[in-house]
Amino acid sequence: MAYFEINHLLVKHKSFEGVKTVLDIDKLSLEKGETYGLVGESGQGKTVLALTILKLLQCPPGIIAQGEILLEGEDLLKKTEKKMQAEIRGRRIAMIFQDPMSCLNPVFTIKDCMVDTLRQNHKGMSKKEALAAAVDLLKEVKLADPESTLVKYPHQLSGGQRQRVIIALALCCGADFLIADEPTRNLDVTIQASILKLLRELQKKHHMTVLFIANNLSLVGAFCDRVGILRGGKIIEEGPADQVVSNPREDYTRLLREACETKLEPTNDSREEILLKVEHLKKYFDINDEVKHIRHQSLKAVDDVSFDIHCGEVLGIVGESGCGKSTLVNTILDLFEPTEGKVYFEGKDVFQELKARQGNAFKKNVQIVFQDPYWSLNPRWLVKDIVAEPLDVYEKLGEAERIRRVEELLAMVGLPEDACYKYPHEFSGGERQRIAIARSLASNPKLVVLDEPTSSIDVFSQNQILDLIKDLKKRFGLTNILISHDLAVVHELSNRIAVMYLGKIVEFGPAEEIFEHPRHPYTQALFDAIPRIGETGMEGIRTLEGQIPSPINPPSGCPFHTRCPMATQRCKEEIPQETYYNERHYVRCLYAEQSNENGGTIQ
Amino acid sequence: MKNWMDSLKPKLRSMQESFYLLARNRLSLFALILLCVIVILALLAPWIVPYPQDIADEAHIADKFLAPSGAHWFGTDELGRDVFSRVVYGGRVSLSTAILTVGISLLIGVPLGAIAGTIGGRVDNVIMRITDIFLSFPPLLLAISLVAILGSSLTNAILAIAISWWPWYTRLVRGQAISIKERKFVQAAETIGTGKLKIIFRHIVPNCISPVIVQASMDMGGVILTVASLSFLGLGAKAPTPEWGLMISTGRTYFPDMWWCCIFPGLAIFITVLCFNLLGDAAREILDPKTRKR
Repeated sequence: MAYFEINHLLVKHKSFEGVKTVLDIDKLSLEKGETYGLVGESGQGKTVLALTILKLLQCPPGIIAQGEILLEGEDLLKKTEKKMQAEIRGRRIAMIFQDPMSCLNPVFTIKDCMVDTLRQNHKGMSKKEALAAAVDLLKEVKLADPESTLVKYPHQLSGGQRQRVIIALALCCGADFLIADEPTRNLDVTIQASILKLLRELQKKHHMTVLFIANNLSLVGAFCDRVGILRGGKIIEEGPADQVVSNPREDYTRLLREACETKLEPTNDSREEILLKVEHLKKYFDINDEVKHIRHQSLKAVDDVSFDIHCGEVLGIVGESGCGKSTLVNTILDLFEPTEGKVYFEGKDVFQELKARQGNAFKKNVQIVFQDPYWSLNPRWLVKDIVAEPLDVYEKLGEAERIRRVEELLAMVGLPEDACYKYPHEFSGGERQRIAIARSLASNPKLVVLDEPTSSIDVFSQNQILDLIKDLKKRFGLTNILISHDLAVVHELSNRIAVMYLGKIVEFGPAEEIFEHPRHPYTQALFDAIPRIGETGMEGIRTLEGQIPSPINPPSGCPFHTRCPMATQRCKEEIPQETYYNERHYVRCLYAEQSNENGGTIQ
Repeated sequence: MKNWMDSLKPKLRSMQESFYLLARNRLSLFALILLCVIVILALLAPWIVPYPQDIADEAHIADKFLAPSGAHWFGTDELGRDVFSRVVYGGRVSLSTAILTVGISLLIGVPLGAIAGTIGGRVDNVIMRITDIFLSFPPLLLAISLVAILGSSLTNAILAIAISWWPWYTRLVRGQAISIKERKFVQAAETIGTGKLKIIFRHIVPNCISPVIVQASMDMGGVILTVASLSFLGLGAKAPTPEWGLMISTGRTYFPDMWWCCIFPGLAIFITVLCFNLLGDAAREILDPKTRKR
C-alpha cells in the first residue's frame, strides 16, 4: 500500500449555475519520500484538491460526493473535524499556501506565531524551550539573523522571507507530508530558485513527502520525481517528471510544455527618430516615520536614470521587485510627481506641457497595460464601457459608432463580439488582459507601456498574450516599454534591455548581446535563476543569496556589492560609472573595464 | 433599442445571482418576503383597509376602546377608530419618511465622501472636519434641537434626521474611496486622461456602493425608530396622522388596560425594523465578501 492514496474522489461545487464537478480523480498515490508535481492552469481544481485533503474545503458550496483519501491506510474523509485538527493538520500533513503576503496574521510577531504553534503541538513545552525551538527552525529555513526576525511583524519581511517563515511553521509540528500550493507564485525568479532549493534540502533531511502544485511545467520538471497533469478536475497524464516533460503524451501537456519554451524572436522595427527621451530622471519618496525615528530621509526609488527609445522599438526593463522599474514608468506617465529630471516625448518637454495643462497629446499617445488584470478593469463596468473609455475622452462618438469601434478593438485582440455586454469577472485572467490591451489601443497611441503583462496570468495564456502584443506592435507600428522580472518574457519581445538594480540601470544594451554575454554579475544571476524546460534536478539552478538592500540606506560604493559573488574591497568604496562595452552597450561595474581588455566576460 | 436590451441582460443576470445568494439563507428570504408584504400593504392601504375614513380625525365615540374582534382585528382607540386600519396606513408614513430621510442623507453624504477620499489634502480636511462637528452631537439630540428650531412637523423631522444622519455615509464612503483610488483601474483612467469628476462618479462611487447599500438598509430601520421616537415625543407627525410612534404615544395613557392601542403599532415598528436589519445582513453577505472577484 502506498503512503498516501486518493481513490475515486469526486468533488462537486454548487453555485448559481447549478452543480458542477470540480474534481474527479480516479487514483493518485504517493510513495514515502516522493515529490509529486501537480500541474494545470488555474481553475482546474489544484487548490480544491489541496483543501479537500486537509478537509478545509468550504462545504457548501463544495460537496465531497464520494471517494477516499488514505494516509497510511487511514481515511481522512471519515475523520471528524476535531480529529483532523488534533491529529492530522500540521502534525501529519502541513500546507504552504500560495500567497505569503496574506497568510501570516499581521497583528502577531513571528515569535508569537511560532511559539504559540509550537506550544500547542508539544504539550508541556515551556516558553523558553519553544523560543529556542523557533530559533532553530528559522535557522533551518536559512533566515539570516533569526533572533531579530522573531520580533518582527509580517509586513516588515519581504515576500521571500515570509515564505521561509511559513515553511518553518509547516515544519514545526513534525508533519512529514507537505502540500505546497504554488509556493513561489508572485515571487521573483531569484527568490523562487532559493525557496525551491530550500524545500529540496528540507525534504531530504526530514524524509518528507511533497505534493507540489504549480502551473509551470518547467518548474515542476526540475523539482519533482513524478508529475500529474490536472485538467478539468481529472488527471489526464501521469508519469516520471523527465518523461512527461520531454515526451508528453497528451496534447494538453504538449501545449503546457510549449508555453514554457521561448519560441518567439523579437523583430526589429526600430527607426532612427527618437520617440521618448528620459534625462536624469529621479523619483525620491520622502520618508517621515516618527515611530521609527526616520526623518527627512528619502527612498531613492529611481535614481538618475537616462535612456531613449526609438520609434518602433521594444525596450525591456528587468530587475527584481523593488528595483524601481514600476516607479520609473509611473513617473514617466505622470502618475507620480518627478523629483528631478526631464522627459521628452517627440521632442517636447512632457512635464512642462502637463503643468501648462497641454498634456492631452501625451496622454493620448502613451498608454499602459498593468500587471494585474483583476484590478485594472473596473468591476462595475461593462466591457464595452471599459474599452471605450479612451474614446469617450478623445473622440465624441455616437452610440452606434462607439459600439462599432469597440467591437473592432475586441476583434483585434481576439475576443468575440458578445464580450461587449459582459462584466470583467466573467472572463479568465488572459481574456481580461486582452480587454486591457484593447483599451490601451483605443486612443491609437504611439507608445504602450506593458507593466509585467503576463506575470499574473497562467503560463498557458502568457504566450498567447505575448504573441498578441507582438502582432499588434507590427500592425500599428507601436513602440513598447516592457517591464518584467522574467527574462524569458523580455527575451521574446525586446530589442534593447535595461537591467535595473536599486533604482539605477546597471546594464543597458541590445537584447541579443545581453542574452549571449551578460556582462554585469547581477544580469548573470538573473539568468541562472530560471529553471529551463527539459532540465531535471535542481543542479542547473543557481541562486542569488541575500536580500535586496533597503533603498533608504543603499550600500556604499557599488549597490550590488552586498550580494555580488565577485565583490572586493574596492566595490565597497568606489561608485562604478558607466563603462561602455561598445557604443550601444554599457555596464555599471568596476570590473567591466578589465573584462573588456581581456576580451572575455567578467568571470 | 437592441443595445439597450443588451446592456440590460448582464444586469438581470447579476440580479438573478444576487437572488440566488439571498435565497440560500432562509431567514433573509423570509425577511425579504415579509418586507415585500409590508410594502405592498402600505402601497395599497387606502384601498384595502376596512375603515379608510378612520385615518382622519373622525370620531365614533360610541365604539371607543373595543377589544380586538372580528370587526376590528386590532380593536379601536380612544376615538373609536380602527387600529388595524391605522397601523396599515402608518406603514405608508413610516416607509416613506424612512426612504426620504435615507435618500437625502445619501445624496449629501456619498458625493462628499467620494470627493474627500479621492481628492484628499485640504478638501478632505475641510469636509471631514465639518462631518466631525456633526458627528459630535448625539444624533437624536441633534434632531430634536433642529425640530425645535424648525417647528415640529413630519417634513421637518425628516430634514432634521437627514441632517444628523449624512456624516456617517460620508465617513464610510471616504474610507472606501481612499482604498479604491489605489486600484489600478483608477490609475489606468488617469493615464487615459479621463476627467477627475468622471473618475470620482463613474469609477470610484460605483465601487464604494456595496457597504453603503448594507449600511443604508440597516439605517432604514434606525430611521423608522428615530421618526417614531420624535413623534412619540410630539416632535414629528401631528395627530391625526396615523404614525406608529404617535399612536404609541397617545395609546400609552391607557396602557395596560387598553393594551391593543400600543402593542400593535409597537409590533409593526418591531417587525419592520427587524426585517430591514435582516435584509441588511443579507445584503452584506451578497455584496461584501468579494465573491465576484473571479
